Amino acid sequence: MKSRMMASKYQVGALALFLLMLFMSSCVPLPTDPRWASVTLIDDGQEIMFAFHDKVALVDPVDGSLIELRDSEGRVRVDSESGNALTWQVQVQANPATVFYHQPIPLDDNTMLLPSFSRRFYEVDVDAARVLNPEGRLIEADTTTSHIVANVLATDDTLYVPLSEGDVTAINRDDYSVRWKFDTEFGVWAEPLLVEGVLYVTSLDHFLYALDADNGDLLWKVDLGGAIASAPVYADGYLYVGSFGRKLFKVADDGTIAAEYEAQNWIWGSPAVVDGMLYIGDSSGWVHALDISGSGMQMVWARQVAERAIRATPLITDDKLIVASRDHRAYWLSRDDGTEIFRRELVGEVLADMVVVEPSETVNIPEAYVLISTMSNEEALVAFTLESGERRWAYRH
Amino acid sequence: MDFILNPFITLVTFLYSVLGNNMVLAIIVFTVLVRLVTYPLTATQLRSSKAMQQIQPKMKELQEKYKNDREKLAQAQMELYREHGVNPVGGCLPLFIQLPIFIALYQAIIFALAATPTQLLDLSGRLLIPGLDSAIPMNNSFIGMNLSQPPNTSNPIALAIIGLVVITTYLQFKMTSPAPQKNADGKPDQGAAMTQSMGTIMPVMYGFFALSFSIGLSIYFIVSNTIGIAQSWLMKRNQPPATAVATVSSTASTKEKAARPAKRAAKSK
Repeated sequence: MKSRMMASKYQVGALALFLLMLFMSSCVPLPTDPRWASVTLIDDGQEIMFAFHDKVALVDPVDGSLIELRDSEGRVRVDSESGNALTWQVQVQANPATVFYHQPIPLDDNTMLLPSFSRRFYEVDVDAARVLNPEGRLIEADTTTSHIVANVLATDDTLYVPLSEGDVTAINRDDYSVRWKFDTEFGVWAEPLLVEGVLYVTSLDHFLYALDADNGDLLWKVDLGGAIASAPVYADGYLYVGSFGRKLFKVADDGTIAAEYEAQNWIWGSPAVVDGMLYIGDSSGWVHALDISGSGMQMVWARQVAERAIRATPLITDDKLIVASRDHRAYWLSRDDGTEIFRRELVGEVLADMVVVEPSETVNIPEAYVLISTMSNEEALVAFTLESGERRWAYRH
Repeated sequence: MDFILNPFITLVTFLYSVLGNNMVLAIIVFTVLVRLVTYPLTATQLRSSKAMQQIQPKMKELQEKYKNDREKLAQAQMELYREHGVNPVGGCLPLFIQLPIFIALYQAIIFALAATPTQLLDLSGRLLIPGLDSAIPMNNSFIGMNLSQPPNTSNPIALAIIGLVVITTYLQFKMTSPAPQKNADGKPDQGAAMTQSMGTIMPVMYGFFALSFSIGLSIYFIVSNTIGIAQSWLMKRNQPPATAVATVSSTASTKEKAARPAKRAAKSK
């Protein structure tokens, strides 16, 4: 009797400890994806390459289904055991799992390069959806905990790799050997921009750097007063870049700050620029429209649109502006004054940039779609018609 | 939770910026400040725990006396609590008040040490003092380690940090838990046995946390435990000498002490 009582007390103690651990773990933010998906149109917009979490998939823009694998004679390949059609999906079996969040880089007609978060490059045979180098090619870094957190910029002969801890590395495209490295104090969390031989690099160390793309020599740098995690945009001789210092800067191509504009909160995404107008969202859910003609920047309108951060670059149509937010919504706004025309609900947060699929008779897409990617696997990619916001399909990853 | 979390994140960021952009110093000072502010609660909890420990012998007597009458036992226990000015939930209440504070404390450290784009995005809008945004991102390197990452077990310094987490957790538990008691038959008291097993599980559990979570969190565990040890030691040192009856911790020693006056009485005869 006594020993039973003792045992039950132990059980109560163990249960209390377990509940405490459960309580503590529930209060710690759950491990989420470190980054958002990338959506890339390939094959002249006939296929969508979607990289998110541990899988890269090819999605049909017509209906959001996975592209089926075909043999050399064009017949659908089937799984010998289940008899089901084989679909285009690439995963790398590793422990911990290899995860992909970046745009693929076409190497030749049938080979694609997939950069992984863990700093490895995987070559993929596109026809067969097969990884050619399952171990991957590790890219050198100063620290073992450095990751690739932004898209790699590819030219004909060079890959410019931004690394999360410290530097941007230029590597030869043919053999992945390092050509040069440029160190910044903190990480490079945005895709570099190449304009006429000058590589513009933003860093969390608050600086915008201009480098000679051939050798990595520093041409100039400018302190923007806050961490920068967005890629700069170049238009009419000026660079436009936002910072965590809650400001958007207009920087001349000699490094002088031509104008600055104060937003409500951090600016993470890149702006959209068209016809002398610039549109940008901030992490308080505000959208700002600025007249950037001339050497200055004048606010045309600014208003709070969303309840949470807007990171994705806004999309511009003839008369509308589309923004999507972490509040699980996409908004169609008037370009004239930012008033909301309509909104669409989504399952997950939106952080990734949106992509437009142009109408095509070849693949039976009668009108333009906007592709919006969420952080939820359940609704990883959703297609809406660009003008009317009609929901066409959703892809589950 | 944000109403606790955001001020904490702001405070740790502020400390980082005024302490020479040193994250370890910021975590240490931050932990010390929070432990100092919550000291009255800790002290109440420790005092209550001590008082409960002191009335345990009388409690056992009551349990033996009213073992067949639960209602009378409850009445007698309440009377005992009243007589000694002990609040039976006095030990738990401060603990429950402190729990969300400590959870927010280490969550603040996790947020401040944002290591990935999505974590860093979660930090936006949480800094309540204008201008602190310029301190982002915080330098998270510490003697060759990344404070935002779990420890690399091939690094001896990281292993030493895990070891310190385990040792300080064990010592703090020892300092705050009551001395083991034995029953009349000499076997360990059930509660004491459970406490002893907790004393083994807790350091192992915290060691596991230290292995799984960021090194910055391990620094917090070490500092927090060390302060807890110091607070317990100071309280024990400063408390008035316990009366013989109140601090009796085992039935055997009760019998021994009860026998002494009888011997003296016998000698005097």
